Amino acid sequence: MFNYYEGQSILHQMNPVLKLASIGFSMILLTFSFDPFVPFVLIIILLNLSYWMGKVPFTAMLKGLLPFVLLAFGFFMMQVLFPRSGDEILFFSIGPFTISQQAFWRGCALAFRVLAYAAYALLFVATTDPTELLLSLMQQTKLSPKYGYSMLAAYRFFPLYQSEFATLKEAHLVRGGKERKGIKGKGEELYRYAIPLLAQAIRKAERVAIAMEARGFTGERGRCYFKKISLRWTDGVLAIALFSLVPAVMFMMHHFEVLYVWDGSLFF
Amino acid sequence: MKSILKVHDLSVQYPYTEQPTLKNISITVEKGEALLIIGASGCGKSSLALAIAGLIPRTIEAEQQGRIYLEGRDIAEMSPGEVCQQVGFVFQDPEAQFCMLTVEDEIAFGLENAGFSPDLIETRIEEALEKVGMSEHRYSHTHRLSGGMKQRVALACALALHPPILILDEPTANLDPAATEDFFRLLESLIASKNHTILLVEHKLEKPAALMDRVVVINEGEIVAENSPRHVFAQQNQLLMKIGVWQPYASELAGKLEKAGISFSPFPLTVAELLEHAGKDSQKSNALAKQVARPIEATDSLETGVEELAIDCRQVSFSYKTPFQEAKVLENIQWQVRPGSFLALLGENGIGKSTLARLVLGLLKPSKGSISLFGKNTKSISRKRVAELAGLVFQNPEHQFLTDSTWEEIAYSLKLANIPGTEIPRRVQELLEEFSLAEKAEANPFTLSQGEKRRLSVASMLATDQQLLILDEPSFGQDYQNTYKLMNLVKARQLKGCTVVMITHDMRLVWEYATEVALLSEGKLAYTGDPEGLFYQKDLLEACSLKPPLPLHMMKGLESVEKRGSIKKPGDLKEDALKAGALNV
Amino acid sequence: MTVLPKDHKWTLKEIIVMSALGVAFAPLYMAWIQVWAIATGLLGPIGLDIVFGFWFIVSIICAHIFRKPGAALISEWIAAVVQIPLGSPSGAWLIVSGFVQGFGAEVPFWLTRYKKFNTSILMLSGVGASIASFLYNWFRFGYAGLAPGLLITMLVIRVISGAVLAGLLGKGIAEGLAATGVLSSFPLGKEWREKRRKSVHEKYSEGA
Ligand SMILES: Nc1ncnc2c1ncn2[C@@H]1O[C@H](COP(=O)(O)OP(=O)(O)OP(=O)(O)O)[C@@H](O)[C@H]1O
Ligand SMILES: Nc1ncnc2c1ncn2[C@@H]1O[C@H](COP(=O)(O)OP(=O)(O)OP(=O)(O)O)[C@@H](O)[C@H]1O
Ligand SMILES: [Mg+2]
Ligand SMILES: [Mg+2]
Repeated sequence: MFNYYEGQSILHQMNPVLKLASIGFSMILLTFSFDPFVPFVLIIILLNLSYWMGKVPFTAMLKGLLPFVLLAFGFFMMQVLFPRSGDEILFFSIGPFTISQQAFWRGCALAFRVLAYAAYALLFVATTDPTELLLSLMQQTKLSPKYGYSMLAAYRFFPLYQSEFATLKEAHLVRGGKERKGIKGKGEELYRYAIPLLAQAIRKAERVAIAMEARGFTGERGRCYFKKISLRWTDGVLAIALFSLVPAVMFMMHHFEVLYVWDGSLFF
Repeated sequence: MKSILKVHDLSVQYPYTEQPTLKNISITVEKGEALLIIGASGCGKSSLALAIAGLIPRTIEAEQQGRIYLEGRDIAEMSPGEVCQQVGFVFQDPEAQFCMLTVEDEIAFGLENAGFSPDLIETRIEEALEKVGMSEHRYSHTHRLSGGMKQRVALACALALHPPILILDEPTANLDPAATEDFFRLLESLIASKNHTILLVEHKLEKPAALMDRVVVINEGEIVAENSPRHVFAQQNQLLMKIGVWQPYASELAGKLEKAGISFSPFPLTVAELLEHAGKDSQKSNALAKQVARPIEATDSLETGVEELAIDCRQVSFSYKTPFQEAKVLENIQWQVRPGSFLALLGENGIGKSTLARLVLGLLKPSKGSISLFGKNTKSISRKRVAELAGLVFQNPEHQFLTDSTWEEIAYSLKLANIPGTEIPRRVQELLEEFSLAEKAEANPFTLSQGEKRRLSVASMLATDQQLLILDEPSFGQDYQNTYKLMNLVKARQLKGCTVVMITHDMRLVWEYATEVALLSEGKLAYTGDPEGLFYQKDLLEACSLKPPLPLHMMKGLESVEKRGSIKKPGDLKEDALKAGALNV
Repeated sequence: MTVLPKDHKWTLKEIIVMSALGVAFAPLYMAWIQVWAIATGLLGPIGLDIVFGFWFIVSIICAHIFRKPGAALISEWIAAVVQIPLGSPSGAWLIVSGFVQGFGAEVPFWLTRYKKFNTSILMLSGVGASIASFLYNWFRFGYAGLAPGLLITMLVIRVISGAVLAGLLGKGIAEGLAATGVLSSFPLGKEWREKRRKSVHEKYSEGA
């Protein structure tokens, strides 16, 4: 899971709504690319952008991406090990496993697609202050504060779930419960903690709502803001540049005819 | 003059409870008045505060009868925004009132809601942070603050709004002694300015008794006394003792002596007044000397026959790491705790006491050094084994609730302590009664009052059988009776051989119970040894935001009284007491 | 609108709690993709329809808890959209599929005017979501080319999955939450406490 890393980079200073829009549209556009190469090239570019332009720490990037690498590998294996009918062109075989060309490319395409989405998300989440995003949404898109602040509360529930899980585990430990090991143990843990964890989340959510009302929050429009989120022409330029990444890469791949190695479709 | 706040015949009943929590409460408060609300834990103080702030029944569900008027307007007909402009409210649990990520945003949120301009918000934020001494934490994340720091931020949020009415629900419960004093100084200036009407719910009464205009005593949801502090504490002394609430220290001592047949007139409210009586009457001063001396169990450490140290920290360092920074909390701590001792771990807010407790329990890993419990390195034994050796009561009681009812919460601990199943119901009932929770057996732990939550979390840890117990501020938010019941139970555990480490800001309890103290200061232990030795080091105390305990003041005062023999002139006495520092309480 | 119950306005508390639940289920939905992968591996394409129901569960949970128009639709949509930044391979399509599934789950409640929330309506809601998602997949993945027999089998399996994995399991989770007492200010929690109180009273009166 990704976190926000405070900083002063160009990406950090970009207007959050424009950043969200350009990345959102890029992701939509990427949905229509079914080959493995476009996402692969995009991943490389995006990670470099995050590192050089966004000053996201390298270790943080690795840590954040690790679960997605596992997820992507899962998708790859699923395609390769369980081929579909119609996959017949043999690619290579290892022992008893034969791997068809279609399955291989489809697996790659799926895996890189997952990673490309993750790379976009990393770039966005790591360089965007959630509070600023929300303020920007309310100031620039006229989102109603009632929903804006609810969204902020919900957004904050991500780290909260992690810390609540930790707190709950600590409670069990301190009060003499067992610590479970291994994947099966973790699974059992998740099951045992699921209801209390959800219950705690509801409790916290309810509390935030009470706190907000106690502090005079009415959710009306036309509220004044302490922090003004600026919108400059440079934000527009950056947004266009970010958004044109996908078409540019698609065009290049097309131009160099790499796309024709495999022209199958994905199930998604 | 029209009264600013009028509560008329208010009753409140929470859903699915048998009895109303508040019964026919009527209070009228004039503009600029300072009202102190006291009562035993769970009597309904917070509920009253919530109702006045307009949160019951609008956001917190409860059945309400009666009316509340703010400047003549019925609160039920006002919007939440309007009420907030009038009433600044500090929740008892500071964690429950935060809705933004950073301290700055948190304070700005309320100001934005009230529609202030950005420039004004800026000045108000600075001013409020300055007042509570948190200026350097303006950009900190609220969830990374210590318990006491959270409480200060909550206070800053309310102060920033300059509300005509300010409701403070135990604002000092987690504060260290110096911060508590700062708070009362702030309160004094707020009262003096006459711009605010203040409703304060508080257990620490030395200062408020002199500051506040009026005291309201609540017992089981009803007002049982209401008058000026002098009047209430002097006339209603026996009633207050019976319902088990705190009183100013001098009144409490005088009340105890009166019960033993020694009468006072006029009834003393301050230490100075009490010393005046003592100066005139050696019977009184002798009786008092007995009251303030450290109990014998506190001066002798218990011999358990266990050889290994209960806790042995060697060169322990720890810092909280975030990607771009590292907040160093502890550095090369050397800390040994003998088995069988009752140790008080002291230190100012945010210095790292809770962190150290979590390190010892293996919930955090030291960045350097090693920690052993009873000779076993925590690294080489499983966390389960650590939990068998040591128990921890978290600073926030909610962090350790695992079940859906008070009854089950204690039963859970007993089961893990291998108490036979047939024994459990009886033991649970015993503990519930000892902790005044018997009526709450069926209640969900999260719906308890703050003090009840605290007691439940302590009760469930006392039900276990670990050899080491760490209690993180076990007595905060407790009334007199429950504080001592709880402390005596902890003491009983220690006398049975359990090692107790108690983190606390209450110096009186340290004086009365601790056999040893350890003082944390700037990442290091600045003092370890017996409490008396610490309390005579004025500079060290000051540097670490501590204050000597009241009994010690009293003792010093009595000594100087004795030195002079029986004295007649009250003026001299006051001077003596001043010299001994007895009046600076 | 006459079809809506009187107190259909969402309070701040309800909005925040529902969003929190939606957010909580997003990672679980993601993890479920792996379950699907295993099911497909073992049972072929039918595997998808067997596990599909779980992807509607938050609809049923929220509808059961809040009993307000939009609960099923919005919570499902939130859970779906949150998966996009989590890196779901379906990417931006989730904006559409989340809406379709939530809409399907909402219909049975709407038809009963948000008055009934018994087991069969909750299961029907799962069925509604199954049918809606099936139609959606039909268009997106060209199910038209598949043999009618297979299609019917797939639909039936998906409907059962929706009724059981979303309807029944969702009901179980919602009521498990109610039992912890956290829902006491929402309709389900209130109903639950009332029920429990009655059963306690019965128990005592039996004893007497
Ligand atoms: N999760 C965290 N992340 C980062 N910093 C933290 C975290 N928890 C605590 N800190 C910081 O560590 C320091 C010590 O905190 P700790 O809670 O141990 O203080 P404490 O001595 O228990 O204070 P108090 O008396 O107010 O409870 C504080 O400065 C606090 O800001
Ligand atoms: N939401 C709730 N639901 C049910 N009962 C509640 C709820 N909140 C409080 N109570 C009960 O109402 C009573 C009064 O609680 P309240 O918090 O007002 O007490 P208090 O006087 O502030 O106590 P303390 O000094 O411990 O904070 C307690 O017995 C508590 O268990
Ligand atoms: Mg209270
Ligand atoms: Mg602490």
